[in-house]
Amino acid sequence: MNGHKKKLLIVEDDDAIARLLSMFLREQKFEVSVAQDGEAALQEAKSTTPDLIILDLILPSLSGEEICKAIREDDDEEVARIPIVVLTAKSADVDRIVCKVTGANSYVTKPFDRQGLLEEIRKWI
Amino acid sequence: MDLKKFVGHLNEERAAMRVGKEGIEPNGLSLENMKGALSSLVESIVWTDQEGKIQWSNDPFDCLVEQKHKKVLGSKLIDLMPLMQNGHKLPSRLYPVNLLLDGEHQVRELYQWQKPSGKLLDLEVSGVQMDWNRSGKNAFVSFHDITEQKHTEEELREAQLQLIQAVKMESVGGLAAGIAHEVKNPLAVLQMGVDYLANSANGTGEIQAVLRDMKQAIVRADNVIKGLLDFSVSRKLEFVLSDLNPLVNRSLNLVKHELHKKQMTVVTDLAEDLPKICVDRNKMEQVFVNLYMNAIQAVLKGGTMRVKTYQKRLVKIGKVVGRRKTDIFKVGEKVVVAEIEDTGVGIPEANMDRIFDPFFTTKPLEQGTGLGLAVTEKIVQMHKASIDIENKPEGGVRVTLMFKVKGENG
Repeated sequence: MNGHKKKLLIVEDDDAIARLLSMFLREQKFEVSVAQDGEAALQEAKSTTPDLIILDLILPSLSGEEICKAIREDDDEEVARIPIVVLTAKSADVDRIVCKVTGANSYVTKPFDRQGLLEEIRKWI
Repeated sequence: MDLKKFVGHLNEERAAMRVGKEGIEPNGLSLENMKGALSSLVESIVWTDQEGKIQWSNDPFDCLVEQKHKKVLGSKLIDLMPLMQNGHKLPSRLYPVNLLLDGEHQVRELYQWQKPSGKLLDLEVSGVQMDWNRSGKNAFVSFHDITEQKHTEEELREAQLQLIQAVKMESVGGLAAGIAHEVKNPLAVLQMGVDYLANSANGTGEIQAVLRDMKQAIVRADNVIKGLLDFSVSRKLEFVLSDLNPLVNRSLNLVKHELHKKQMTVVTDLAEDLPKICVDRNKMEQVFVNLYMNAIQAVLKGGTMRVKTYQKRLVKIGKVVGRRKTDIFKVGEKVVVAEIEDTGVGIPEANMDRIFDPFFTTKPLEQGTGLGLAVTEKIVQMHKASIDIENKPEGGVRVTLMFKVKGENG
């Protein structure tokens, strides 16, 4: 990590998950911000260009798939290239397909253990 | 043509002839004319003398039995066409001609017959008894080939069953996916919370033990949800033409660790040169792993599991396949079979009817969700294969999987 902390954006509408995730990831020396819905997530992604986005698939208003597509199709190439790890609560089969369709980099199926998530994140940054 | 009417007509004619002088042909209709007319029908028609020997046959019949007319005449019908019913050879006394000659006036029944060239036909056989010359009784029999029709009916029924199943699974599937999301979020909170506490609580061993138990409970709940999703997701399978034996071995490899833990002996007896079968490899591996795990959990330490594969030609259809009678297989069809046997405690007879029910389990909580065999059965059904589970007389359980061979009866 070249001197400065890597920035993570967590997009998750479940308060408890968002809180526990950020606690854990801050412990791991990441800089963490949280968005609770799609609008906020897109705004945050464009204004701060995080190093990686952790994205829940099922959200109010915009779905995770839609957010994913919007980011991948963003005019700003840096934004379009942000690695995305999807958090899903479906089955592994469904998740794999969603990942392919939306252009996310990888996925973690809920419930997940912290090490598993960390490994997925470290693959990309 | 309605055979009864026809014979009635024939008898009337005969009566009229008897009244008149011999050689007189009322209404211009003679036996010869009648034979000519019958020859040009599509139906296969014969009549026999009182011993069941063929006295006359039309062209379609000669064609059906693949014999020259000369050879047909004088042959016994039962020798030319030994019929079968429900996969068994029809005993001589129940043969339609013999029923007629024994006094039945009319018969009409479905039979199977294997042509000399090997093709198995479904035949509707109808016959009537006549006494149109004084030398004794005659049997008049027609054969209607309904193989195609039956095949179409079966396909239609199969399609209907699949549709019903799909609708059922769709409703369960939608429900399961909904539940999965609702339950998995709280589980994620619990799991992360437990992880957090386990890492920060520099507490006593007791606290750590409680946290470990909690974590196990979360994994268990998650397994149930996963099983439910597996059970309900009715996605299309990816069928590939495969060899069975490598699949058997790959799945064995996946449970190596569990086998070792129980110090079990595995005896494999895998036949060479098995014909290929059409399977979704991942799903079928899941079937074998489920069955192996059941065997492993059923035996005491040091038990034995036997895995055997072979091919055979079906001489008769098994009693019950899975829980339901099915007719996915036909007599004479070649199948590939896998048998998995254990030396375990067996299944109490009282539970036999319920072993495939979702959530039915007798295992301790941490070992079973009650979905293993439900998922297994579903996958097997999607392969148009069959699964049969029985207690062996000498103890332990035998699971028999039967697969269609590509190109055998579709």
